Amino acid sequence: MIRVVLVAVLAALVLDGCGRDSCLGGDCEATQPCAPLAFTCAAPLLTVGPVAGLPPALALARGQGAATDLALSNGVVTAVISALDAPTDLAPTGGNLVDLGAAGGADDLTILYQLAGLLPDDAFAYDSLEVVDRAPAYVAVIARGHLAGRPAVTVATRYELRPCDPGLRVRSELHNGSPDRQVFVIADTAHWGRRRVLPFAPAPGQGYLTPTLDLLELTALWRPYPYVAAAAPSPDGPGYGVVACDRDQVRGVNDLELSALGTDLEVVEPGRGVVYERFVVAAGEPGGGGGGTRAGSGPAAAVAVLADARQQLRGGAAPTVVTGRVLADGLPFGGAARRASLLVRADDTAPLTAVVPDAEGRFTVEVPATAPLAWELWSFGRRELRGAVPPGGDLGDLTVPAPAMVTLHVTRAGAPIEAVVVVEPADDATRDATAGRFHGRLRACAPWLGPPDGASPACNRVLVAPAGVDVEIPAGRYVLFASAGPDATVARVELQLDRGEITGAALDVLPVAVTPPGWLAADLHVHGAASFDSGLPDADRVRSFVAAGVDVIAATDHDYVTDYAATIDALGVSDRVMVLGGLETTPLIPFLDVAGAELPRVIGHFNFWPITPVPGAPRGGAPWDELLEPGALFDRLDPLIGADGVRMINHPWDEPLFGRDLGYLRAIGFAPGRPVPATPDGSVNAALVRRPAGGHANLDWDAMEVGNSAGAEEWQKARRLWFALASAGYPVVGTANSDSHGLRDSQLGWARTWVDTGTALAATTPAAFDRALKAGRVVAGTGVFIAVTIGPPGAPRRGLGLAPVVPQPGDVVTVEVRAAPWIPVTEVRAVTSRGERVLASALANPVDPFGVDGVVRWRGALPLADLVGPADDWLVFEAGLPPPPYADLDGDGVPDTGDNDGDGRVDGADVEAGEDTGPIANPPDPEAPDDPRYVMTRIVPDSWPYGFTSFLLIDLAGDGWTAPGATP
Amino acid sequence: MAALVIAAGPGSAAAGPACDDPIDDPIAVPWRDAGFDGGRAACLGPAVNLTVRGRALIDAPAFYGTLGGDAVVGLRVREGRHVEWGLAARGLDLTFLQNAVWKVIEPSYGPLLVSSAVGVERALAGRPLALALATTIELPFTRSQLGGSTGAVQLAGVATWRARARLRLHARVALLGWYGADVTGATVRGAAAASVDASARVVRWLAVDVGLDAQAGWYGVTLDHVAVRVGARWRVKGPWRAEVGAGAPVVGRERQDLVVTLGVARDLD
Repeated sequence: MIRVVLVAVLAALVLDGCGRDSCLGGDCEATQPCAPLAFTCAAPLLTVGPVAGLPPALALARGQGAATDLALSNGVVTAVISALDAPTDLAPTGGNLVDLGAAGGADDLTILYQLAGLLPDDAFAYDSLEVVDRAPAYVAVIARGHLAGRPAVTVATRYELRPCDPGLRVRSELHNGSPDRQVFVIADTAHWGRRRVLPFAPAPGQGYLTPTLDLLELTALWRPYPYVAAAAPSPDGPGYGVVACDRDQVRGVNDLELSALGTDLEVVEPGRGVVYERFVVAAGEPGGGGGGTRAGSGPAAAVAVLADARQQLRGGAAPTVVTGRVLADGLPFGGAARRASLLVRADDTAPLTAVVPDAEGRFTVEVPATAPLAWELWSFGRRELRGAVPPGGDLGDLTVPAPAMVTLHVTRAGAPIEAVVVVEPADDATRDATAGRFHGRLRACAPWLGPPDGASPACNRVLVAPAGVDVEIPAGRYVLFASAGPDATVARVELQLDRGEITGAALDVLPVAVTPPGWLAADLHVHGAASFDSGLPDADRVRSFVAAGVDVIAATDHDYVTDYAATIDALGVSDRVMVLGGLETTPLIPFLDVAGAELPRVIGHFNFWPITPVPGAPRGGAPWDELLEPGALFDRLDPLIGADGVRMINHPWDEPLFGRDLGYLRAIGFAPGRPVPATPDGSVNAALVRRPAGGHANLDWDAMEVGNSAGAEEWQKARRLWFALASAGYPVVGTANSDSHGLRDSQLGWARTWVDTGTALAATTPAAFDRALKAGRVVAGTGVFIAVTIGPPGAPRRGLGLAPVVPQPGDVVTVEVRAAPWIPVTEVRAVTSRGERVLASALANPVDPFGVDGVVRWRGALPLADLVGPADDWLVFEAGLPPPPYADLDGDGVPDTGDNDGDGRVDGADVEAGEDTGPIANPPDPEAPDDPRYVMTRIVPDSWPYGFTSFLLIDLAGDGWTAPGATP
Repeated sequence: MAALVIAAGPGSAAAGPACDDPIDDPIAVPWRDAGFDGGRAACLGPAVNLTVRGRALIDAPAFYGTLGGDAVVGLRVREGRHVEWGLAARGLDLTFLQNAVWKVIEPSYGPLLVSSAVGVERALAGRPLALALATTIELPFTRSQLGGSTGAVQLAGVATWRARARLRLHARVALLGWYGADVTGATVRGAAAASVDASARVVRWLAVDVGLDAQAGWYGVTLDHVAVRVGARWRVKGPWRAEVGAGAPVVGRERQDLVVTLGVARDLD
């Protein structure tokens, strides 16, 4: 009996586990994912191999594949699989899809990687890559490995490309070799990053309006979709999509940050597995992006392929085709999402597809056979037309209101310049008539001149070139503001625009002497298209540098080294701005155990520069920055930035984003009221002095980003930390930067860091700039400059700098506060470890915010002895408006809550329901033109005027500066 | 086991039989899925039983945890004096799994388990001793999840020694084998197990049981657990009896944190 049973068991094992068509348990070559699919094309071809060997005609613009990554192309699409030792973004290893687009077209994909759950342990971690070249039948890359935190759970993914396929056939397998039952999925996770590619889900109430991802509600949010598409709201990006091959629907979540799509949640017994086959589509115009052979761009090109694929896989009626043309004033009106974007719905509920008509206004979309269908047409962010799709699907000509065409020119004292023009409704009727959003998604703007995170015009903002620019604006009454940064006035003009009107507007700004000679304005935290969360083309990014009047830029894309050199050369602005190559390390894989924290953390963001980009290297030459404490990260970056390079801790108390910490000090629970030990002693702040790799300590940064973007909230949080660390004996230079990702989110150069190099830009080297910065010869803020000298009256001995100040009898400190007339300044303060002292208050702002008078807001000379106490201390000057009312309700030493109910005090009533503290935000932008912040917030939305100097370290006895101890 | 059989003398009736009431059997507290690894006494006897079990696995990192319960019906029949056959079916298994992001309740049914035992009566130190070789097999393809198979086997030698009139000592040594397989591959696991129990008749109708269970090899070349278990069996009425027990590991890498069992049985002889 036993013998019979044992034989039966062994036989079952053999039959079940071996010899199957399986990459983990049998013959991977025989799996043939998505076998029913078949596509035809005129000139089939296939190639697979390192990216370095990919014919240029098949390469992808904006692709970030490294030379050693693996490319697959069939002349229709090109895909890049990261090399094993070249992990990017959220993935723990290579072996993931990092570029995908129409062959010779563009790439908008950051990463598509596989996971079995949304915890770091459940990411697929590959150990081997196998290249399979069976051309002309197919080419494939097979990745094998295990789950990152569960070695007993083995995984494999086969990426297969066949001739003429408009996408990859992908099969993933997972085998639970662990002793535990597990809840697993197999899902592809695309990291969209909120500001570039938008997922489009065909489900009731969705389309572009995907629900916000809440990791704690993931089980409920994990829902079925017949397919999911995605595309950037720009005309040159490809459309992406996925359809399941081995099941009827894909399941998962879609959010502006990411999509995770695959199988249903499944309890996987030990010894069992999951298999998932899908077709990952890229549709676009070879050589140009856009909509490929089907008219129009957006997700529609991908949806058409997905509908075709679903019909091949599941049968049923042929996809329904909907065609038409968009006109304005009888002329074709398409080619950009701002002009026209058409949505097709099923039965007026579930959006099925969306298309931006081509330049001729024509569109053709295909959707799975469904009836009835409805459509809606959006123009300038507003739903202008809607109706039912007639039998046959031809919508005919659809006419939307024609905008006015305005040619903008901006001059500075008569000379054409690069500038930003902001279009503001002049009355409520115009505001109501022009307020729009992208299909109800993304930021609302009035007027809505284009997607807020894309190229100019974005939202209500236009980059104006010296030669001028044409911009379409819906009819209405407007005020146009022109700005060239804080060293110029704001120009203003009022326009009444009629439909179809063609007109022009010229605005002239005048220089104002805010920045002294020898000081350079820098923005040391800037993102562009190389960042996963930016949709701004490089050309507009560089033009924004010049338009903001910034001299020095640190290019700090997330985990990718860039320097915009090619774009700067192409635009001929190398004499206007110096760009330091660099990066912002952005760890995404939680690993750091923090006492009291329920889940592991990441270490937040740090900027490093200068770094020279390495074309063809993974991440543009940036080292992998995951699973490292700051000290080890600094060690790893040292060889790249050199002795003069800068390590900067960014937004040290920023709130986490989708479970990833953005600020290191917040992540570790730094206690600003407690001392920092000299050596690790187990105290709450001991993590700062730990040397995780034996080299740098975790607080060995050269600079702290005290101001991040133009609002007051990050500055008010970070300054407490900056002060506390100085009091504890760790003073570093403080900076203020924009962290700009586009033209609307944070304005480039707001905030900014002025550095006293003593030279003009042309005579400055990166090393000299960095040395001056690290020496603390710095003023920072949102357009408010504070000039400081120290010494005998009339004969100052020195200015700002971290070199200790040894007071001499009779020394005075002279302080001069300067700002453009449109930036309000009413208060000047001196801050030491003992507290704040208001030096001037209720200062009058210039009568004419558009004039040139009143740049110097306050000038004072104070005996140095009056500012410092009986012991060594640090001294900082601040100016601007008094900070908004913020309070520290949880007593951790950092402000956390604002006056959100507007009753003039911060208390429990201001706290969001269900929370203990917060939110803390910049006060709303005023709508009344006579408000002191009105003009500034037109130019710099969400801003608060402030400026601060770097530390002056007062060494009273000249025996070396002694830290004053913990700040109360 | 063979050595024990040889060392033990012929059976003695003077102290009464080693096996006279199943309430003296140890409480079976299985650690592995479907309970194929559960212990038993060396006593053979026909019965039908319904057992409800609960289990908990709490893993602090990532908040992984499972809470499960299943219900098993079983039948044991005796063939002559020395052979016993058994069949058990898990009628329902409900498992709640969670981690930091997922929460799932999974119902399933199956598998079927067949068992057999061959036993003899001997004496040890003048006291009655029952010895048995027992086998439990989880039959492949008897779980509700299709598309793969799972099988398991326990080969055990068990002894029950009536040390005192009211005290029985039970011992078990066992080899465990398991496999799970589907198209994505196969996993096999094995372990060696040993357990000892002391079952004391507190009153005529109630026996309490305390035991130690050790296992090694299931999680690799390591000690899986030394677990303690406690339980009680009592005669409800006539042939009906009930049992309750619980076990928890105290040493080792055991993933399960707690197993509880509650059962009712009717003796058939």
